[in-house]
Amino acid sequence: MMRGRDQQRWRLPAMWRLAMLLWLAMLPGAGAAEPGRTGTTLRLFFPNQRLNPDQSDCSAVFPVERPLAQGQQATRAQRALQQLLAGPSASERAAGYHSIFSAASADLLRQVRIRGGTAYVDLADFRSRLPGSSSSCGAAEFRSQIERTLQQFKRIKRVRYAIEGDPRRFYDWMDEPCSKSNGYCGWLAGSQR
Amino acid sequence: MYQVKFFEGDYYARQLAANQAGAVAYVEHHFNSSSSTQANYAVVVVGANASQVSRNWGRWYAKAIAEQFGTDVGGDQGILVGGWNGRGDGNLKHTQMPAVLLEPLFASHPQQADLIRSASGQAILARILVESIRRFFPQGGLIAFSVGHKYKTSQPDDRGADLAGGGSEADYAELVLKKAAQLLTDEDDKPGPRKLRLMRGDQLLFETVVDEDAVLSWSPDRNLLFIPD
Repeated sequence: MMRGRDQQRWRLPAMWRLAMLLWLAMLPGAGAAEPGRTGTTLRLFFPNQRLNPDQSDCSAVFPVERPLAQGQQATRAQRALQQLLAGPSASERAAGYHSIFSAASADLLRQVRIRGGTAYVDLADFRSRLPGSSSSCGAAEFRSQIERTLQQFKRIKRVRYAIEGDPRRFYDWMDEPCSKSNGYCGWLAGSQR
Repeated sequence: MYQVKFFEGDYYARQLAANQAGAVAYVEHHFNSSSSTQANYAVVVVGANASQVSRNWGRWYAKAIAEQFGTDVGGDQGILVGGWNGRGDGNLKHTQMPAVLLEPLFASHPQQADLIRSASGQAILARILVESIRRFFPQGGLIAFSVGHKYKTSQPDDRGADLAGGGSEADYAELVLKKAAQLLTDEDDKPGPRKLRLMRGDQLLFETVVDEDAVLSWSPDRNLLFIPD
């Protein structure tokens, strides 16, 4: 009887351990839930002239898979953005993908920090390099590429931007008023470190 | 009957100044841009708080542009209320009068960029804008013009998107608005009876008065425009 009670006492924690493991596996950002996190690819999102021929929806973007370079210290979000900002490859362009981003914008990313479901993306001053990015179609393309690429990581729910550490400069450029949706052009303390 | 004033400074300051000046309508002129050279539609941004007049005016203008240049209309029947994701809303939402932000053509589309650079293309754009103003503000008054991406205090070097083949969006938007201002204030171009015009480019070939209520019909098979008695 004592042995049976002991078994029962230990069986419950074992079930709890299993439940804990299942719960951890379902957490946002947990390994298997994020595409490529434990694999060897990243997804980047670009507009595609064949899939959206008349560009009637400028925010429509489509995924391409890129191999994940090994041995880099940068976060996966940072690596994804760095690749995105360098634009589509020659073979991707041949397949109809296009972008406002190209080799000329490959060095724009200063840093990306993730806090509480928000990715804070700090960019170098791109305004003279990407002058079309503040038109209504250009802005939709610009933001949907970055946002869809970052939101493949399930712990990223929203994206906020800054130019050279200044969010207001970004939203002024985009002719977007400071509002709740962009955190009133403010960043959380610590997101700029 | 109409006066036109160009407002400069940051967009917020322009709107406040237009309010103080008692403008009856506010027009900010831009051109659109895409990384695709095929993007090809006319769209007008109106504020998230836009009146029905602004919405109707924007739709009428976008449709007229699309018909003239054989393009599509974008957004919701030609308008983006509040802009895309709020982009453009701040350019308009502080006005106290009907206000539109025009994006009639794509600077990134090679043929449309040629049109934007051409005097005839600018004249057509100006004429459609003037027709829209006369239609929606027949009583006249002060019309506020704002050149997008130019004369901004905070970004004096901003000129907006590059045109395919050379040039900047803002410089050509300004040319269109200047032509529109000239047309609006031209004494000979006051609103009168409804007219039917035949044009080649910006050249007027034929003009006749038609009844206000007449329904004109175009037969593409006969190349015939029929005006009922």
